[in-house]
Amino acid sequence: MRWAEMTLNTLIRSCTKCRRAPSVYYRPYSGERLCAACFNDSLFEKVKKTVSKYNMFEYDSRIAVGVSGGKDSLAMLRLLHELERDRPYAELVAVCVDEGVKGYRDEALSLAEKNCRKLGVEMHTVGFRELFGETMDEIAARERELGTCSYCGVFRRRALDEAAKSVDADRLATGHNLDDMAQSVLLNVLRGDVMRIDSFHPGGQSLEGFVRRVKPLCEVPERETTFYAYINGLEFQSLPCPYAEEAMRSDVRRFLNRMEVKRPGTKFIVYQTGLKIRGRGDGGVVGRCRICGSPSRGDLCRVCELSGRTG
Amino acid sequence: MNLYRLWRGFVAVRVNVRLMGVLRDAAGLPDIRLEVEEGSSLGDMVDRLIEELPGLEDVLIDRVLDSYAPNALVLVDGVEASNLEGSSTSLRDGSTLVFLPVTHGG
Repeated sequence: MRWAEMTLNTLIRSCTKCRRAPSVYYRPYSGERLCAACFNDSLFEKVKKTVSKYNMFEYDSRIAVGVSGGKDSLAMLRLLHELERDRPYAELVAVCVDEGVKGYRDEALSLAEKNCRKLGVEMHTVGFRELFGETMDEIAARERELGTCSYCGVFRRRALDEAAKSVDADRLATGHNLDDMAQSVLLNVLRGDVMRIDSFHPGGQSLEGFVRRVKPLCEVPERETTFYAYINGLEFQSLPCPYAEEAMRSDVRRFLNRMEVKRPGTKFIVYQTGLKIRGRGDGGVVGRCRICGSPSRGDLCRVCELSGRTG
Repeated sequence: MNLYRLWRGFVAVRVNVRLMGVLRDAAGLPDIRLEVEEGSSLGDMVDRLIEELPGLEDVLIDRVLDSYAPNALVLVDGVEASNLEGSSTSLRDGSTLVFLPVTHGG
């Protein structure tokens, strides 16, 4: 055996949980070294605890799982499928949104379908064109005041809600991970959007006219959802959205990733800070949009505002 | 140089590199086999990889941290590199490296 081989083998330390199998993953923020089986178990336990902490589901919830074909949503689908196995009255339905981004979303939807078929989960798709009259490619090509992500975020949110309603779901689970949550807190601070911090809640709120949105992966770092998807052989979309770089979120992501390397645990602290400073209000929803009737903070909801519908 | 290597008993280590997601696109190919000197580290291999595929530099290297990007998982024979010795991890002949970007679609 060569010395390099010996060095590599001796460097692989045992799993800090089972103390038997060789570890494959190191968590800098906790100091744990985990083997593949313990890593899977730890993620499952983390999601189980999060679901319970925020009372995300009822014993008989019909859960619409927002599946995009990316690693987060597919990891969430697999974990919730495992979690709900013990709850015979609960049901999972995958809901997908086709924003109409050629070459990007088509691949993702076929991967979503493949994964749903494997787990035996029913899948339902809604499209931007049928809901809002135009695709994301058309929105990106037209003259507009805001970045593409501002339109996509608002429309996607509405589309997922519509899809969840159409399958009679009482919960809508989205694949937002710890990185997404920390980025949202920081973005809202940078934009001075106090109202959004007020409604920051991974367990969602029961608001009339909306399906309650929950985020079971809110305490799982993105690196871990990626590693989970990889070691479990999930086929997931590997390319980022072609419009993603326009977003201010990319700058915040880069900053937080660097901070996490220098000071492990930063993302969790930012997320916890968001929870501490949020209020317990309704996020500013006071009335209904005069065009579409959806719950809204103002006279017009964001979907009608961005679609240019003025009545 | 070759005489020096011969004198030192240069032994080449062949490593299979697998690029995924945005890295595969930047490189223009999914797999590559590289040869480095025995005892080379993961960091040396990343330098060698960029020498071979310069398109990877912008997406793989974070100049602020002076290391490979924090938003990529690097697996050495299925083990995440930070569970070994990070960029100082020694590579062995026949090792497989996987570079998996964390920021994917979705």
